[in-house]
Amino acid sequence: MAHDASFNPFQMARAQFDKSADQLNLDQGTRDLLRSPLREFHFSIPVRMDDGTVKVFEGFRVQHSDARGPAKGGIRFHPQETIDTVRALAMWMTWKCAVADIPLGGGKGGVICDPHNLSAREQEAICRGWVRQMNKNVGPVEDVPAPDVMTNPQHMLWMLDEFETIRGGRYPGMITGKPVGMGGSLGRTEATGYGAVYCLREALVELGIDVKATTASVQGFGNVSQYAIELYHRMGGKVVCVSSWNQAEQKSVTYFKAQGVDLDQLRTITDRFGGIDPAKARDLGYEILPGEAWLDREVDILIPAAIENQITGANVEKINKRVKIIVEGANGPTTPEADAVLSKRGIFVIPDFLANAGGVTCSYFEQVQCNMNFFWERDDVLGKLDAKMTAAYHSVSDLARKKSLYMRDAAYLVSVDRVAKACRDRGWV
Amino acid sequence: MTRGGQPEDSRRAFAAVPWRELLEVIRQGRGRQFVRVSRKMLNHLCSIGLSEAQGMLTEVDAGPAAAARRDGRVPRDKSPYDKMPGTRVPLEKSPLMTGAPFELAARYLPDEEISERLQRWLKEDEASFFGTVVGDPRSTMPEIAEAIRRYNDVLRGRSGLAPSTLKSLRVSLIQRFLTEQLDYINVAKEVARITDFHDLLDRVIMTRGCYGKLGGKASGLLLAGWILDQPEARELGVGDIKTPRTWHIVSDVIMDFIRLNDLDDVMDQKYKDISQVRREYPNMIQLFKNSPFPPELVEGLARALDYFGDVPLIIRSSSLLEDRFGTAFSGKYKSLFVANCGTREERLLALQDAVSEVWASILGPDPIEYRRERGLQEFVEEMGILIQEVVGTRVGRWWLPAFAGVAFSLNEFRWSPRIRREDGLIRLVPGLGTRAVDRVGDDFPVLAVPGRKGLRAHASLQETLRYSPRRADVINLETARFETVDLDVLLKEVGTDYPLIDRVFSVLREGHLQHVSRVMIDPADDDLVADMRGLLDGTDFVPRVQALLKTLEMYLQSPVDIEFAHDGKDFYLVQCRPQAMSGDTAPSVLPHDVRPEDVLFTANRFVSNGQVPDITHLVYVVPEAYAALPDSETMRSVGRVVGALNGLLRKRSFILIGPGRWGSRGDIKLGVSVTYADINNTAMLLEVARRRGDYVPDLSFGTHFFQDLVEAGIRYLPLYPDDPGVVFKEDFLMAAPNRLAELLPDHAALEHCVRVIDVPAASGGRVLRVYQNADLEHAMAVLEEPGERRVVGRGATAATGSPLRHARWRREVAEDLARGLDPATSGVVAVHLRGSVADGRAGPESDIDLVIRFAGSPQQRATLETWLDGWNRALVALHQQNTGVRVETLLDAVIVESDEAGVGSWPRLPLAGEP
Repeated sequence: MAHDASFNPFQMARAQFDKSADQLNLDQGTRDLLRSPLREFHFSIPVRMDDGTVKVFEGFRVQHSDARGPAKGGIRFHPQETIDTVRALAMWMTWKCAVADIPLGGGKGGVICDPHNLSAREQEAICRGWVRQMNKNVGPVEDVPAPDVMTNPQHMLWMLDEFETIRGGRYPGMITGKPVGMGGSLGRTEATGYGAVYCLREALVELGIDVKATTASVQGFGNVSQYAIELYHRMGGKVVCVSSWNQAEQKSVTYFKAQGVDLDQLRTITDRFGGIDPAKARDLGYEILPGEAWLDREVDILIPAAIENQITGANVEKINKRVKIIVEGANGPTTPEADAVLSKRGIFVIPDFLANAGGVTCSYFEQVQCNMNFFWERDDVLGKLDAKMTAAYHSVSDLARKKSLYMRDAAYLVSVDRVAKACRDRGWV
Repeated sequence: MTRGGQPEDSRRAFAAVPWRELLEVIRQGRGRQFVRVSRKMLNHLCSIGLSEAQGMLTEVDAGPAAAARRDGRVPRDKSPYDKMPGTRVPLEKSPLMTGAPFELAARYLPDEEISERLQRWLKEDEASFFGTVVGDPRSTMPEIAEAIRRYNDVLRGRSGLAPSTLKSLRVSLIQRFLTEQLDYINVAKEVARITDFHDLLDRVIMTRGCYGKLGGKASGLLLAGWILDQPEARELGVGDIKTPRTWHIVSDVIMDFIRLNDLDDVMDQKYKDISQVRREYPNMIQLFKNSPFPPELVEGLARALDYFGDVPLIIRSSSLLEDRFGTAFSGKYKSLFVANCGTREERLLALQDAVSEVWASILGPDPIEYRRERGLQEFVEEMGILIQEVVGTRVGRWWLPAFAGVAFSLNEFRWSPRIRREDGLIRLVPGLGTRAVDRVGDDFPVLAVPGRKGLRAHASLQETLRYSPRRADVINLETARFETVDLDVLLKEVGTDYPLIDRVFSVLREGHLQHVSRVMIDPADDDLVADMRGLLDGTDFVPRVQALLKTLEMYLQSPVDIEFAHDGKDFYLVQCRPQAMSGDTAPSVLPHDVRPEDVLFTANRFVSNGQVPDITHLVYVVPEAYAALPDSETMRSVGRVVGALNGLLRKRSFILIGPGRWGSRGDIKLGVSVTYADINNTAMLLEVARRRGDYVPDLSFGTHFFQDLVEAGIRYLPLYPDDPGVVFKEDFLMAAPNRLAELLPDHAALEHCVRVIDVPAASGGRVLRVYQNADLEHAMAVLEEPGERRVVGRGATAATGSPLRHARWRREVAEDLARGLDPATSGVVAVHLRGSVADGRAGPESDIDLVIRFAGSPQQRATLETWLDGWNRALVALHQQNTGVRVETLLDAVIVESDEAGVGSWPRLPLAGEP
């Protein structure tokens, strides 16, 4: 579908904030402060191109809020970037860090460019140019960038190197998403999937359900799904169904096994994109079903961990009556129409920005480790992640339970309230 | 066999004797040779300005009387002797017979010089037999081969032939062995050496009495090899490039084979209906395979096997038409791999089997259709064959090169506006190059641009992973089969024995692709990705390919298309030919003054230049409906429906729009399964890449198929309806009435999947035009009133005078004319179109060639002739108005009263009342 030109993500983000602000009855000053970014940087990055010409790229950094700590958020290389998209994403980062209760604010940045048109050397020059412009306003205690759309660990290392060259020291906590050995953290790969299941575990306890008596159906078989399944199985649950995108067939396919899927076995027949080989799966006794079949299985738990807009007004009614919990491992898997139905049916939803906050929490840990130049073992990282996610979950679910709120609304309220409180405590409002 | 040569012992003796004695020996034994060297000496003396020599020359040429006149001894005639035959000067009285020039020389030149010159002229003279044999069209290949061997024998270790003699000999050899094309000869004569032909000879298989050549592919590769031996190539940085060891079968050996087995009637296949050709082709292959070879061929193949040993071989067609300038027969004829394992007998049988099958591919439907389209049907199609070692190395149970691929001088697949066409393109794969040349559907070659070394086709890790090769074509030496293996499987088995593993593969660690040294790679545990970064970034490979392309381009004065492979040690050039180009590549003006509701679709990626005018029909394969078809057989039937529509709809007046990759050779679900013959009448081929889940289907990056499109002037455009700002009026495509059931009632069941839209009927009499501008990276399809359109817009000046446009107008005129002829009243049986209009080459001054088969009365014939004359006069006037070009005749109609041979092969135009 072509993009609707009237679609403005910043307007959407503001509307969402306004709803929470109304519920929290925030004063006008706080609303005004949080409805707009605290700071915006727009700058030009001149780059000497491979052919000798100079091209000037437009760079941004939006720091929506640093009331709770240094701003945190990705750097995007995107040819159709707009400042309103960056503003919206920066605001969402503020809420995400706040709901996970990590001492970071929200930021986002980028450069209008298409890496398909740029050589590696030119991209390096853009990265270094970005840091030359922003070095006074980013850093371990100011604003901590990370990889995002079309940027990767290599870009982070170029940026870090430029920053350290200018500052004359080693500041690995200036940026996250670095490779292990160059300031990256162990446990990063598992963090999002595990984080979602830590939340699930707490939800089951709260709902009085024995995890060992539960079954689950998972959409997607990428990193998030695989680690979620791994941990859930270790806790005694049984995943009976996974779906994955089949590249050859050009459609998603659902794999069902009533006695439970064997994760290690499935991994041996899976490509690096999470695509399971249907023929081999059939040989291993899996029932091959259409892509949407993951949704209608008779299970207790659904974990959509693939892409956005998967549970929609059109298919939400297919969800089996037995389903009690939906854990949103992916970003935005549920459309607002479907959300309304789920809320009405009383299905317990662990919303995306809580359920998949394991990722940003691990980035925070990376930064912490860098700042003290002491790197933890994997189990330390995951143990601390468990503690953070568990606490984050409970603060949301407590509010939801006490105030009879839908989990998604409760999560927003918790995060906006935390940020508003920080602003008040600092005496800004 | 002797042709003007001398016994070897006397030749050796000459070198040592003083010149007078030598001359005397020649005078006594070889009078004609004596005269020739005397003449050369006389010429030389004249050239250094000796007046006595000039007098002697006049006497030689015109007799003693003329010499006397020249010296003023006798007065000149009043009337010069140019009106009368000259006087014969008896040779026996000529100073050349007396040795006078040498006597004169002895007075002015030192002995050493005379001796040296005499030696050289004798050599030249000895070599002249060679020119006689090579230049004689009646000489057979074995005779020429013998002459080359003798020439080499005569002149081994001795130099001094005049450059002009050498060049003339080279030209003769090129003409006989390779080609008579002037373009080729002009280049080859400067770079080939006669000894190159001698070296080649031991590896040429021929039969007695054959006259053939080595064929296009062989010529291309030989020429490239010679060019790369030039010092300039090294200066440009090409480096050391090898060509694979090769044997050749001469092109007309196939005729001996056909004669031996009484197969002459198979050559009539080309006149049959294409569906019959297609049906009978498998039988033809079997017929060839079951027919014995001439004994000389069997013996030659056995020698070839002894030469190669047991390395795998590739048997490639090298037909006379293939790879000629402007005609890309690429992929039409077969190339087959032979593992070359087993006993000698088994290997020989396998080799013979492969040769038969490659020969039989002359009778395949695709080449026959292709030739028919280009009016090359009557060209005697002989096929040479190359037997080449497969560049590679044994790795475990497999044989494969480290990597292989193709490279083009001109880039028609630009993913970035920063890439210029002249920046070129490289397509690289691990293993055999077949996966870089062919479309494989579900796997991808690595792309690199020589002129923009740093640019990557893929920006994110996900893209790089998605579009890196995952399989490789290899030869399995245990099963003796060509096969495709998963790289994962291959690497787990062979480990770091894979040649250049750290150049071909990067290691994916923690979401980061890293270059890891070979010693640190552990294929058992590491996730290896064939992104070729080590090769592209860490070596001089890309600059070398660029230098290679530039060098070949410079010599051949044409953009080129090469295939290459690397066995881990050496870089091999495997094929070289001119890159096929459309002449219709000017950017189109994008009209400004169109209403948004008239725009049917737009595109802003991978747009090439050009304009597609006046489309009256759209064939739309509905992506969702196609994907939902229940089985592969039904999917294949969609391909057949497209093929049938291609035959029914007017050539170049319709466009095909379908999901994914047209003609996918891999998974049929990725695109409609068609061959070139099924789509060759379309004006444009569009591929729709709709986002599905988290994935947008990839493009069909070009291959043989693409070159076919370029050659035929068929436009290719990918559509990305889900891109921002892109127009794709699916509602029009879905709502317009579908004519499929009417055109092909048997396939009405596919109506939901294949939609045939009559554009004028669905849009109030309008037609569709597609404007493409690669410079602006934008294309738009607009519904417009038919007829001439003055384009106001951005981009460039309006492209005019394209051959296609002239051909199209003429074709329409011819069709209108034919439709005006009623078979019932006019006596006309059929109207056939031929010549430049039929094959799309017509220019502003071309006429319209028609052959009208007539079976009516004399009166009807007179009426017909008057009617045609009227048409001609009207067309001449109309044409002048349209183009400003005045021609005397525009309609050249030949009336024949019988089905003359060959007439039926030209396209037949429908008459009045015919569908």
